[in-house]
Amino acid sequence: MPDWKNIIAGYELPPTETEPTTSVSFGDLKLGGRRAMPFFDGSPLNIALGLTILPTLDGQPEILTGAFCAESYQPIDCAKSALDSSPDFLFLPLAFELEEGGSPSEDDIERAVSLAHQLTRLSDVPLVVEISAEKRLLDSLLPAICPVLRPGKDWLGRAGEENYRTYAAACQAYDLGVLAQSPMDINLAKQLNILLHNCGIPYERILHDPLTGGLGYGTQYTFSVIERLRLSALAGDGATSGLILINSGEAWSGRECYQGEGPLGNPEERAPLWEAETALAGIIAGADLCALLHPQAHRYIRSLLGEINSALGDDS
Amino acid sequence: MALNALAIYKQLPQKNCGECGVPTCLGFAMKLVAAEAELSACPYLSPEAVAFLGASTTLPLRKVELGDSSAPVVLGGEEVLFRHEKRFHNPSAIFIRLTGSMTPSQVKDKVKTLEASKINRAGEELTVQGFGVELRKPKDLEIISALADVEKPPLVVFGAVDLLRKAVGLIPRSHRLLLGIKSVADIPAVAELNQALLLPYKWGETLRKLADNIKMAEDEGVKDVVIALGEDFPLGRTLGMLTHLRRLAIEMKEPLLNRPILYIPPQEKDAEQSLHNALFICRYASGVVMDSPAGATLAPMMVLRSEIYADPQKPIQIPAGIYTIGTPTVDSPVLFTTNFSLTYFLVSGDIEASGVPAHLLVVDVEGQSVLTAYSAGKLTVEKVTKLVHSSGIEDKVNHRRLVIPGLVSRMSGELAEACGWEVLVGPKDSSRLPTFLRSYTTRPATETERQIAG
Repeated sequence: MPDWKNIIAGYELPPTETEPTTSVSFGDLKLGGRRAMPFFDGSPLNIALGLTILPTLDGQPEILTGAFCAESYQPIDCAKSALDSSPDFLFLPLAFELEEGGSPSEDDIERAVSLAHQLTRLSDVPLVVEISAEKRLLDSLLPAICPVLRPGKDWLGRAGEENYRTYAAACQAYDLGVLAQSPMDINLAKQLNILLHNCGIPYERILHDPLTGGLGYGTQYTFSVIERLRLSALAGDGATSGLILINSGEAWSGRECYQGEGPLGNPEERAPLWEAETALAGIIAGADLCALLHPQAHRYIRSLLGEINSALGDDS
Repeated sequence: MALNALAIYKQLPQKNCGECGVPTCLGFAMKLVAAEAELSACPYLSPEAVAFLGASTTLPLRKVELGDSSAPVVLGGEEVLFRHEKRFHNPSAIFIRLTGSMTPSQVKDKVKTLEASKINRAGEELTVQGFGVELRKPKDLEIISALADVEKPPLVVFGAVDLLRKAVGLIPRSHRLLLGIKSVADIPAVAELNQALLLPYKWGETLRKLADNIKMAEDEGVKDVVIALGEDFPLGRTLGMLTHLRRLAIEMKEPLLNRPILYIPPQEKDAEQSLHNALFICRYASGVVMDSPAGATLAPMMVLRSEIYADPQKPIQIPAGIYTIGTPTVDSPVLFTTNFSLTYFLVSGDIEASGVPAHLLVVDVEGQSVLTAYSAGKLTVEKVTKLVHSSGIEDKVNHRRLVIPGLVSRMSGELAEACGWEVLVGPKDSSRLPTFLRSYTTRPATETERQIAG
């Protein structure tokens, strides 16, 4: 391998004094602790890639369900085969979207809690649980789900402006990391981190998802918000120096990802790439974790990161 | 850019002749600041003014124009490292690589495939910029002729000097090529051809050597140089090199290495090539090369490119008016939303998912989402009323019932009164539109809804 220092001799850039982003233990991995934007110094990309386990395939496009054991879908079987491809974490989205005024049946809650419980027993990788539910439901949900998660290892959210106190209290009581989410805006992201911090959550226990826009549906905002959060952290702002997560599964909320033929080409081939390139934009901008949905998208990104890193970190 | 528009204006002739294409000198100054115009467009500048303004209005990353001079493909011309600092100007050009052993009819088939993978998204046409042809033997010149036949002359041509010379002879004079040489020894001979030069940069060569080569080309009279790299680079180092070079241009104002870069991937699987190119679209390649013109691998790259190169200061908007989803009839529901592209995409997508054909009225609120526009006073009863009356929707449906976004339920009473339509409050979140619309077709408005609607 030619010597990088020799290659750029005479064309070095002046050193920039930066504060490293927060270094965080995540399962067996050490994440964060960046000293520069990706590719600005020669250090390898240290990204945790996770796989999303869908509790149900109802309402999902066929191209996606086809990638899983769709015949009689069991999330736990899906997780077992997901673990064969060595994800760094599992991501469990639990949606409790009900008609207005309704409440989830006890069965619904029990099924969700039991799934989370089984996932924690399946392997040692951290589990990130993302609950979408109205604030009033959290009082019955959180006491049920928190005890089954592993203290010091698993993460729970999503905490937003309207419910961050509830999550902060629950996560503190059970020693869980907080998954926070803000709507594609650097100031709102920073504010939410500060609010959680004021509730006693250290910045290294906050995993921030600045909301991922799939290709064609807001990737530009996700990209710039992450870049700005990173630059702000490197300039020394503690409130923005924590871990950033992107959820590339959001790529599937735009129909161009998996529908149609013609100019968009073969959807079977296009869809995993659509998700992978959504993930890639977030990673280049500076995300630390990426939750992927389609197994092929996961394979693409894992092999791409391997390829990028194989030539980095040896001489800079 | 160090100077503001007024400081530049002071140096301009201030005669408002309009010969630069902008009606006033102040307007021209503002375009210079925004990097939307070039100093050379003004024919009346004094040499002192050129010297004074030249340094501050030249873009840190130089610009190279290819193809037809009336509608050139522009490589480079960038001034920031991060898009939020201002914007990226010239989207990475995508070139489809054609290599030897293609018959003229195969070439024409490729052109057809390419035509078929143009994408139309909310008024924007996404497409590749053209072809890159690799000439290995004299017979390969047939590819150039075949492309010229269908009026798609290539933009990039690689090959030995004698073949490059012949290629230049085969295309119209107004068409500018980027000529890819194998060795720097070819620079003097290619300089005579008066085209743009694609200078190879091999992995391991020092930047000093690259700068010397660029200097040599300039001394031979080549004005436009593009750096080619990729094939023999390890991927991580290519990203590091592109980032390093872009920073030298922008942060250090490096005068020789500030050239646009064409990333040339090795021949590999289509999907891998798409992923690699996507990386370089985000990180500083002014152009990339693809082997396959297939939509499945091109579409994600092209949509990603339009995201990254969109102007962050301008909300992405679509034109106001009536949009039809499915084939609506005179009884189909009528909904409205705002003209922020993302809002429109989400709402139209969710209506489509419902399987219920509908008319969607799009209100011009300068590209804001529903709630933002309402809070900012841009989404008003007057605007919606005007659109309902002037869009022609009243001739397209037999009923007079408008579904409004749940987030602006507060405007329902006033709106019903002002436009004379019954107003039905839709869901707050568009993801609930499928459920809402499926029951809409069969049920009349509920009592509460009637009361709200007044």
